[in-house]
Amino acid sequence: MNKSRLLGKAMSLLLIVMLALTGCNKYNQESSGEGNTSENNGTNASAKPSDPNVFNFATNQDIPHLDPHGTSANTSFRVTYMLYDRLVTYDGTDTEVKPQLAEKWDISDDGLTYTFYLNKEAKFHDGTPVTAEAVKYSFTRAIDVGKSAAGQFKGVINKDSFEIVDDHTIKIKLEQPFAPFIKTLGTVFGNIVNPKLAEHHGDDLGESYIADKDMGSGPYVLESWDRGQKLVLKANEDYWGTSPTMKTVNIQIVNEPSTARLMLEKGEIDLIDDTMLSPDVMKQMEDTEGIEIVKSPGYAIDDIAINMEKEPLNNVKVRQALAYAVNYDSINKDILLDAGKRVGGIIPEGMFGYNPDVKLYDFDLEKAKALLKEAGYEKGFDLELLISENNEVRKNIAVMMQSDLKQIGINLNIKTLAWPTFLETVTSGGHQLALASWTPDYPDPDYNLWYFAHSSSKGPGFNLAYFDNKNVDQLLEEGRKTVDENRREEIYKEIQTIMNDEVPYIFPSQRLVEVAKREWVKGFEINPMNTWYVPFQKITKE
Amino acid sequence: MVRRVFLSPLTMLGLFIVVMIVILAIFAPWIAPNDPLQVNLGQKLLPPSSEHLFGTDEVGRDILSRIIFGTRISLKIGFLVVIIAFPIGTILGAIAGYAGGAVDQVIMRITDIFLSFPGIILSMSIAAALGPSIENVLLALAVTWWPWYTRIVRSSVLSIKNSEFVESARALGASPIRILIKEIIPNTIGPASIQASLDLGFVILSAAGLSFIGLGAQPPSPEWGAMLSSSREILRDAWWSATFPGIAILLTVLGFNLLGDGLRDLLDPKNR
Amino acid sequence: MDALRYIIKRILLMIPILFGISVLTFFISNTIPGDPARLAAGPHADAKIIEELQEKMGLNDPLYVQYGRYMKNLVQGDLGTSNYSHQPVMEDIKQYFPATLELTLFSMFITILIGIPLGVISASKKDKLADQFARVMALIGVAMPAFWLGIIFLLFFYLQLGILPGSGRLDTGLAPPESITGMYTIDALLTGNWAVFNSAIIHLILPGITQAAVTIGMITRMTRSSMLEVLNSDYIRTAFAKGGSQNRVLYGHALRNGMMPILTLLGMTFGHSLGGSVLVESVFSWPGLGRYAVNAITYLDFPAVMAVTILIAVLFITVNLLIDILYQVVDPRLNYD
Repeated sequence: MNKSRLLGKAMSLLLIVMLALTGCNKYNQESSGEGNTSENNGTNASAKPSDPNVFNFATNQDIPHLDPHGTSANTSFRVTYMLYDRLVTYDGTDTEVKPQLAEKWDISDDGLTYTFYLNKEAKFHDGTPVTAEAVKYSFTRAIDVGKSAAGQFKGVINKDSFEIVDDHTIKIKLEQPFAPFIKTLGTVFGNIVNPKLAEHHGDDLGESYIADKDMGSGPYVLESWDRGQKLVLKANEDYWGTSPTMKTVNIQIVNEPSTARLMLEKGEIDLIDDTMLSPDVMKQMEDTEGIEIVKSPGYAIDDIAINMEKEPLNNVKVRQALAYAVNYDSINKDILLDAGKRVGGIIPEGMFGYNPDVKLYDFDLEKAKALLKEAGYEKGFDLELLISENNEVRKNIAVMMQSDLKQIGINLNIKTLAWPTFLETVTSGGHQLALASWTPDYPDPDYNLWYFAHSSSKGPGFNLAYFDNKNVDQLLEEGRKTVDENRREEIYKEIQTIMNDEVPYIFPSQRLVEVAKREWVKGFEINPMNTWYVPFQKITKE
Repeated sequence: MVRRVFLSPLTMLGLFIVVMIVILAIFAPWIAPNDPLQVNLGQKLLPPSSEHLFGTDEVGRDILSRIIFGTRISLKIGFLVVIIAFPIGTILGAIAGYAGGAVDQVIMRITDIFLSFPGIILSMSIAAALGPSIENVLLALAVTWWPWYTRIVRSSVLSIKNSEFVESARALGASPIRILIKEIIPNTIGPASIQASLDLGFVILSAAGLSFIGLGAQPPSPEWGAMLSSSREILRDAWWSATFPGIAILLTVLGFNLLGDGLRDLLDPKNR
Repeated sequence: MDALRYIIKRILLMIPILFGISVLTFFISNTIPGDPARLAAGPHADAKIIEELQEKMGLNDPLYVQYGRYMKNLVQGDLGTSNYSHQPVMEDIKQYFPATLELTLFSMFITILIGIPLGVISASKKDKLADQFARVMALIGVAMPAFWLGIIFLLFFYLQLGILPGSGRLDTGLAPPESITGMYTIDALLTGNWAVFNSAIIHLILPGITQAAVTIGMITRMTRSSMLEVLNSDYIRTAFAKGGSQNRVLYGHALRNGMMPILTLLGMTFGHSLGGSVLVESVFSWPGLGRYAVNAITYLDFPAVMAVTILIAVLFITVNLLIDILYQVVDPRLNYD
């Protein structure tokens, strides 16, 4: 009997020690609120925030690296947009650019030459002024690196496009007129980098050097980064512009959405990445005390790309049949819980060029069946839908489609692929149907339409429908060159009408952006295009 | 001997569980109250009730029915992986043990390679390379599993290689292959078979793990690991979507383990 | 001398095995559909940019050339640069590996603390209630899906009771200690930072117990069966007959003699845990090697995949080798085979 008594004692001792170490209920009351444990089931309903100078943000997307010219990860953008400034920027809810490093600019009459006058106060974090040299360096490096940033400027500018007039004046000459140019400069790819990076180019253009450092001029500096765990931003005390309100920002990687939600309820987290929680979860959180769900219009559109190069999808009647077979109402009401609205084309509502008169396909299985019969596919056929994984909403939409399509004789197989594999497969045309989501980086209809509809974008350019229409091509090219806004609007409306008849894509929904945050977070704004953007520099906790 | 099995309550429990699962798998369409694939968005995320004993999931499907049909997938994976890996591993182990020398070395090094390869990375990579599907998970797991049998069988073979009856078969002029097939393999298959029956449960567990990270069963398949994965988001409010698939996995693996243990005790009563 | 020859032989054998593993990894990684260049170039890049990148990344060279290049660098200690993080893979590993090591060590500690005594009790009280109970618990532990257990622990200990944290290695407000080993607990102790030590231990508890649940089951069973064998031997009966106290006989003689299979299993589970903690790390947002490896495979980060695979394989083989050496040293009667 000795042994078990001893063991029992040891176990209880261990347990006591552990409990003591935890100092009971520590993780229940991170804040100064009282009496919030038992009755509230562990949530923190107190009105006083945790340290008002520290902002805790949770995301489940790991940050690969901080090189503004080399990544297309939103999770990276969120950080680099704060570490760096740009010639112009999108602030808060703006979809129009505002001056930032460039105080003002002129555009020549032929639309080819842009002259930027830089703010003389601006300086990098190491104290050196932001000069025209830096601007030239930043874009040149972007082009040299040849990755995501280069992709945005291809065909628009090249390394010889820059003329330094003086320390604070720079001329950029475009290869051809490109109406949206100024808008592209407000994106992450327009981040202006300290030319001192050139000293560390080594043999990889400084990619490994800048991967975990900041060489910017922005309102925040990189304080520390524990990979896979936490990245800390500190306010730049010597910022040349408006001083940021939030002094410290902790960006935490939390893998499980449920855990992040628990942390939010306890007040350990102030705001959760909008991509982490599905509408079902947001709905449940609406009534939780201390938590607020912010809804805001967005430019993100869900789309189903129909690969027109594959049989039987090359038959327009088949595509139209598919369009009649999607239950748009159910998607927006039951799956998205009204966090989305039906949209007729790839131009979102709210953006210039949106065509509200596009004919919409209703959910009508009878019509769908009839069209299939007309096309000669009365017996139905097998179809494969690719979705990129880790997204419950897309999975649910796919499952719903599967069930509906079965009724018109189409056997839909769903395949969830990891994003890299998904990207590879769809950009090389290996898919039949692909469900994805699209958000423009800058607010111009050319951005969406060129990538979705121009024949040169087929495949890697993201024209996943492999849509090839001479008429549309011509219209798009004209739209890029024209500076007349009215003519452009006409063009884009017409393109949407054509696309609606041809159905290269089906658009189930334009999404609202929903973000879960603590009530004590003030000053938070959602940008309809840059949904990853969190304006740390304007946020306060009260 | 049979009486001994019947006397052990734990083994009986294991047998009972496994039999129940097999029955559920075979008669699923008649036992399950609803269609496991029937989407009903108006009924989503309902808690357990008399209509839906285990509640409904995020698109309104009846969880109980899904769990019942899920037995088919789990059993299929468990059996198929073992049926593929077992013969491969056994034959290789027998050859290695009996032949000795260079053949033995080569086979064992290859075995070591697969054994030292981090399991999850191997299965993930294969599943990623071949594409996400339950069949590919099957293949990936079979590739990860065969080395274990090779090891076991080889040790068994080594211990009886020089025994009397093998010697006499050799003396009578039987060819090595004949000896392998008629004498060696039948006598060494015992310990490996026990391992195999135990492995059924672990294979199911591993398959669930792979589905959990998105590599295995594709929607709308009612595979338990995939169901657990989908439940992670709504866990807080829909505890039933995680609890029941988890219990299903637990009971299934437990059942096979208990049964396997009982078999082992049967053949080696010293360890009861 | 035999022992030394054996050890050297085993170490030499490691080389072809590691070579084989590297070939296997390389081969499989390259069959995963996906183009690292396209991934790096981003969704808006056109064909020309992607082609240029492929050239730069050396992806157009035949496979054996790419493999040769990698191995040449590897033997010089250069693990390559990660396609994903743009850092040297060695740096990445220095960050992620200690986290997994710390978690594994902690869970092994719990496993030994609970598993062995449970196994001993179970054996000594064979077929009585304690034994039955321990056996069932062990069986359940082994059958438990670790990721499910983790989720349940989170719900209960974090949400309901609020006594344990839900993610990460440290409280949000704390900075990690100065990096000596990379393991927060040890580093904090070495630098006398009690707040961090506390926080680190507390964060280890839930993931540690979750990971230990399975291994406790296995160790309990192994200890029990090993002890049963030993307890029936004449030697032990004599010890009891000579009037030794039960504890002394059990833990002194019996356990010592039955230790080998237990050690072997411990070695194997340790090696296995290093590579197999993916699911636990995922549920608890633990920034360890498992998550790093999954990420690397997903993002076609071949240098990282190769490095992690080889690292874990080396550790696994080394641990097993050490156990086997111990085996031979302790019991030279056994065959060297």
